[in-house]
Amino acid sequence: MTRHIRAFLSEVAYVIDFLSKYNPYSRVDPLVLFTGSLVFTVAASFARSLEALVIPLFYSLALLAAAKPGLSKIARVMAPILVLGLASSTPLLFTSTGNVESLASLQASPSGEGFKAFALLLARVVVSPLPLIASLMYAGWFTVSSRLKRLPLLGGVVRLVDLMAALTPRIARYLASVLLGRESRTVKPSLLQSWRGLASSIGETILYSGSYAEKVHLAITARSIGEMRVGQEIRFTWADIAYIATLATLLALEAMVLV
Amino acid sequence: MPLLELQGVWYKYPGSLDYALRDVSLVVEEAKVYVVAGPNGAGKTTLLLVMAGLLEPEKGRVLFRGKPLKEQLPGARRHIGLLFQNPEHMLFNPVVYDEIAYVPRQLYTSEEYVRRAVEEAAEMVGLKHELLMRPTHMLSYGEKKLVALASILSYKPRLLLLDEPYTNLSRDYVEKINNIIRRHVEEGGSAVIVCHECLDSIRGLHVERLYMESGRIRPLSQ
Repeated sequence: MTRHIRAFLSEVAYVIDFLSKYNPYSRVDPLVLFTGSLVFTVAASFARSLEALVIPLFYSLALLAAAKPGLSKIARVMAPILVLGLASSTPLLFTSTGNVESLASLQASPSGEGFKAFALLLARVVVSPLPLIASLMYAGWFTVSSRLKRLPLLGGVVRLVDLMAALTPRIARYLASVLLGRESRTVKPSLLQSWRGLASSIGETILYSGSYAEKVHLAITARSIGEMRVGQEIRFTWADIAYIATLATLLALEAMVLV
Repeated sequence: MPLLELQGVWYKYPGSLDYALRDVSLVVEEAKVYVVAGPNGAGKTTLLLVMAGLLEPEKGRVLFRGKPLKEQLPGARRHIGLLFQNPEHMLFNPVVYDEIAYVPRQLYTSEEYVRRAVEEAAEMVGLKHELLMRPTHMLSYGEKKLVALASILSYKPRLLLLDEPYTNLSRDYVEKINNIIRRHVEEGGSAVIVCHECLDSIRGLHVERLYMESGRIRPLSQ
């Protein structure tokens, strides 16, 4: 069991690291890209038909084609979302109307209406985060956040998300290494031993996180003289204009489908 | 006038019965290197934290250029650079460039000046240019140490406080750090305080040797 937990922790650290990369070569302004993707995410999450998901899906695939992250990386990021989608939509398959109002709505065999509702919900859960994920795969969270944190109202929140994105993988890897250290000294492995090991390792990690946070805080204070003084850098290129024009066209098509 | 002066400093961590620093007095002059040796738990790290104004002494005074350091904070931090023993504790920014640019971005209003400060500091510690956009967690331990050092050299502090800078480093990195110290003192006229368990690594540097044990400090000749 410890081995699976270690694998899970490594996977969490890997996905966060991968999505929060820094891409200084992004041709489109990351803030424009992120905002455009957010619009498609919202549109996809309110879609009432499969047709309405085609344009957000096309947009995401175009971004993924530009980012070229590789199929295995896309699969590793999307796997938990697919599992979540299947878990939430499978009960709809076993209904006659495509709605679950109570346990009595469920039946033993799948139905045509149930399948339609199942397919729509699964597609919505999978497709709606895809534009944002694709934009992060293309530009990387830290590229987006470097622009977002200069906005007056969002700055503080974005810095917090930045810290979490930078420190969560470290803490996950620390917990994985504590578990590995414990496993290497476990002579008679048993389920009880695994649970006890996990509980004490989590406790140790919480203590470590506290002392780690204290030291990082000291290191930040030691180098804090005042507010950031570097002004906002405005960069607007032909790539941005082309991107916005494409975005507007796709959004107009999406609006026509939704209406 | 000395750059920094400790006068009868006592410090005890909250909840602890023992004092980590006991009646420590020290005068730090510009353009000098001081090496504080001593066993683990002697109080070396605490001494550096007090000198950087991060811990407030229970008794005694810390003077920076003749005036109480406490009254000059946070502005005085621009002149004090503290390298932590574990570089992991210093690196909280997403990529190497942002880490080194942390203080310059507080000092300058133009990104161009920031970029120059970052490149100069990276060159000083011998960091390759392609490492600047790399996430900090993807660096080796030695590289992390160099990035942490570059992040304090980027604003050219007058007082460098280095906590166990040679720990877990290969001979190459040790030489590199000694060269940086030498250059900083000879060209910049800064004061450097190095805390290290033993004195082996500082060969070739002209230093004032001090020894610390159970929170007390004394010249090594005693």
